[in-house]
Amino acid sequence: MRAEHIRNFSIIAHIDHGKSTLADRLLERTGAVEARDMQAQYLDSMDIERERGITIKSQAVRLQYTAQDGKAYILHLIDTPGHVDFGYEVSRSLAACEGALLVVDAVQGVEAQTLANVYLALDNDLALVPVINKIDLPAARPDEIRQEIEDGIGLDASGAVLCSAKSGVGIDEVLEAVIRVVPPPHGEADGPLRALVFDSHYDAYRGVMVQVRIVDGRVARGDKVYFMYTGGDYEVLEIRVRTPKEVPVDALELGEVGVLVCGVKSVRDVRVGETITHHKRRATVPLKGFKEIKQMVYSGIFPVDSSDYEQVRDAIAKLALNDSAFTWEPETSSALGFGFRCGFLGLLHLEVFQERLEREYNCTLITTAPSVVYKVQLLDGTVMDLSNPGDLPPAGDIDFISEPIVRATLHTPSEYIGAIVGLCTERRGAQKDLRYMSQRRVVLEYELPLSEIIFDFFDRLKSATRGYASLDYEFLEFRRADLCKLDILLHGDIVDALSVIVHREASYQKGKSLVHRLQKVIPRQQFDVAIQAAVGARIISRETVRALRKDVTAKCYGGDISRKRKLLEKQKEGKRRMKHVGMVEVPQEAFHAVLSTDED
Amino acid sequence: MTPSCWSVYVHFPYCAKRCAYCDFATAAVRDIPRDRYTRAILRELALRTATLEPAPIATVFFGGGTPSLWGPAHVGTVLRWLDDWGGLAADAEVTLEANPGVLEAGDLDGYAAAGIHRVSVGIQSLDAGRLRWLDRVHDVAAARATLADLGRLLARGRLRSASADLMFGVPGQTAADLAHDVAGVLDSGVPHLSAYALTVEAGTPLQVRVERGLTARPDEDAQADQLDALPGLVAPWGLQRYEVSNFARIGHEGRHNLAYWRGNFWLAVGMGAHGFVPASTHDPRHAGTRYGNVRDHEAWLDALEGGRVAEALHEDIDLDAHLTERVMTGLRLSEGVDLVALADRVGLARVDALRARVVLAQARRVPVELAGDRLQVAPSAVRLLDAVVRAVA
Repeated sequence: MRAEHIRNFSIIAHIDHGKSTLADRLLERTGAVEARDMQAQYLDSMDIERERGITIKSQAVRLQYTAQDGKAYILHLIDTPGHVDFGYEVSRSLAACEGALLVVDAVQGVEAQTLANVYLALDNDLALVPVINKIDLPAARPDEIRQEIEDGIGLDASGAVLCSAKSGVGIDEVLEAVIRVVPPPHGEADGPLRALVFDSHYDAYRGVMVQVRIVDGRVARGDKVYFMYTGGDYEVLEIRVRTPKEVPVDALELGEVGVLVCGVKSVRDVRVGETITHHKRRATVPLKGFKEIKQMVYSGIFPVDSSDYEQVRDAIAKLALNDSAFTWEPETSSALGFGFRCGFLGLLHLEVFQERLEREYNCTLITTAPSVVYKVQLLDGTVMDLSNPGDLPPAGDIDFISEPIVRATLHTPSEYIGAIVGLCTERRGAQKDLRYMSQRRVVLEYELPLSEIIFDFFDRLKSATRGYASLDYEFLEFRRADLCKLDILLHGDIVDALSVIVHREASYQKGKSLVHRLQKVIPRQQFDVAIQAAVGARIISRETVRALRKDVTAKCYGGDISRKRKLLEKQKEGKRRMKHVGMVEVPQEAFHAVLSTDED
Repeated sequence: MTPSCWSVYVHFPYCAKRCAYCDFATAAVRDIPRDRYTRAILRELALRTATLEPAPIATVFFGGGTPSLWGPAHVGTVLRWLDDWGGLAADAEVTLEANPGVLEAGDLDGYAAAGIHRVSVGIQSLDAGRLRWLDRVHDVAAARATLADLGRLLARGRLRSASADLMFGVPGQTAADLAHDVAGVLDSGVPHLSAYALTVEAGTPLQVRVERGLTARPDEDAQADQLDALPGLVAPWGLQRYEVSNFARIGHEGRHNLAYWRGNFWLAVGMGAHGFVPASTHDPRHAGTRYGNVRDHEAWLDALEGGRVAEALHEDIDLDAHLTERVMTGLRLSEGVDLVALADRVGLARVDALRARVVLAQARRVPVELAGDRLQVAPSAVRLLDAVVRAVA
């Protein structure tokens, strides 16, 4: 297949605007998937992806389509992750494309998430095909939406395709527009091989499956290849394309997208953004845009029942096989026993990982409050990386502490500027820029401590702007700050897993609200439980969970026994999810009390 | 495993009126089908005993509902059937539950003549306001008259024992109020008292009232204090706590209920009745079979008239579940759980594992004790019993 008959594209859409349905429809129309095999949201294969309506792993499918010009085309639809945690992965997936469908809901119009991804696409020089979806809804207003796309994004929407992915209207027009608007791949067909790695995953039988897009040259089975950034030599054992069933092929030509099996043992040996070339005939320059993945957020993962340690370790090891962005190492906590310190790209990454451990591997876990990495300058001149607040050395040994600062870019309609400025100021942000992109669109740039945005910043932002603002951030630098450790004592003992690093000025308020929230989630026990917050030796807040006075069933006769036993077994199941910290039974949610800052 | 003697529970579901707090298997109907019900009971006894080894009957309990509405003749018929099957033991305890509101003078004499040895009456309170609050059909005068009747029958030897139920921890009820009720009951000479903390059960009118805020929720602290106070309140009459809610003079403990708490087998018949019999599978991994009859009296009657039993529950209790039940019910007793007897039923390994859990729980200061081969809860910790059970069962 010659490159001029290839089109590589992705789909940009706000959540619920019909991206997955449209992808399903395109697969069906091109015969890739029979209607009877159709399972809604075909591309989102993980349960969690389907439930949350988000895509975590990139997927690429090859579609065969004979256009109205009578020619046969190959279309590669590259589905991309859709969350700020995975911004880098999105950018590499987009770099594998020449164009994108910009799907906008015919009723709701352009929304924030759409915009953030549009900017990413424009950064990658993609041709955009505006598609107005759900035009069969009674409230559809395609003309106004067209105007919104032109005003809000600055994109010519006169040729926008009107469709309804749900009922199948306009699907041919979408495909024709892809052929017409998205340029064919351009590159040096005879040049040295350069293949962009945009994702990889682990297969128990074949090892790592590397998803690539051929930018220059071609690759064939049996070729010896070289990974330009990480420096590994491999042999291409197999090449496959997904239609979406996996089909073996002999070679991938310029512009094609496929999966290489080349004996890579670990996903860690293949970085997203890597450039693959030939071992002998090497390209001189790798493709632009490679970045080392950096874990932004760390959290402790502990089995509730310490005898499950091995089960949890094996489950984490299995999930880690497929997640190159995840790091882990053993950790011990005096409160929680043996567990693991785990690094994540962001909170969503953490939540999804934890959920998969619980659901797919049936682990019962406690995860501690997420923390960023701090740099601690000690008086003896050494600098330590602190990813676990419990490990902070005594105050007397510390010269100062630096925290990670990010540069955050927020796109918002102008009416929400006030709300965003208020939120960023509250989170110790410093405004660096405020530009009007159009009359209604504003870009704000802030320097913010990472610790202030990993918790509930994104949720607060969404509610303050009704979801219209978008957030993107990148690491800037470590900056010295007046930070201290806030300890929580239960029944007189410090619980290391509940310690958090906080800004000193906010420590009193944080301590008070944390103690208050813990008092609500810690159940009454057989004795009074004091909950205290302390900075150093100074107690700054205290509340008591009063002892349980009565916990006994009044009547238990012959007819009650089965029912009461079943109730007891259920309660014991709930108890298994409690952790004994010293004498005190602490439920899982207590370890996340620090996450929510809303007073209720 | 065949028991050397049997306990038999006979349920009579009919009531004159349904009480606000009651979640038992009851039916309040205008015309009670007494004859039809008796025929069905005899039918069920025949069906259920067909596969059981006859053995002497140590206890019989007529519960309800309000079995004192059944009539001495019907109760006598059932007792004669049981005597023909396994034989009523000479010292058998035969109990009838009675409700003061529907007892006429002389009724109890009739039941005593029909073979009832022990009567258990639902007094609940001797305070007019609280009886109204509880929606009871009887008033204070009826309660006192019933107590006087019991005293007379006990004194004349027409009854071997008797018991009265009281409710405590009712919103507004003080410790002095409870002491007044206890004294009023025990002064009659009744040697056994059941005192229950008012519990808001799911699906009762009381629950609806509490949830709508029309009625105060029972106060936990008051209930805890009253639970702790009860042994002292009953002591002047020679009664002791032998179960969370049950107090008796020595020798007057309810033997039928002890069979439940000690994990013995019992046969049960009647609408909604639950029994526990040797496992029908003869599988050594099962400690027994528990069944529960349907709670709809028409469905239960229809099934038996068609020659079969209608069960809503039928489960084989495996050894682990049996151990859980034994701990759950046995710790309710002051005597505790006999671990040697338990090991006979469920095996030594399970009992050893239980001992290990006990040691761990003790390290966390859970108030559970091993006294020789008996597992017990300290008297002061009775009010926290369920938490103890969760920690060790």
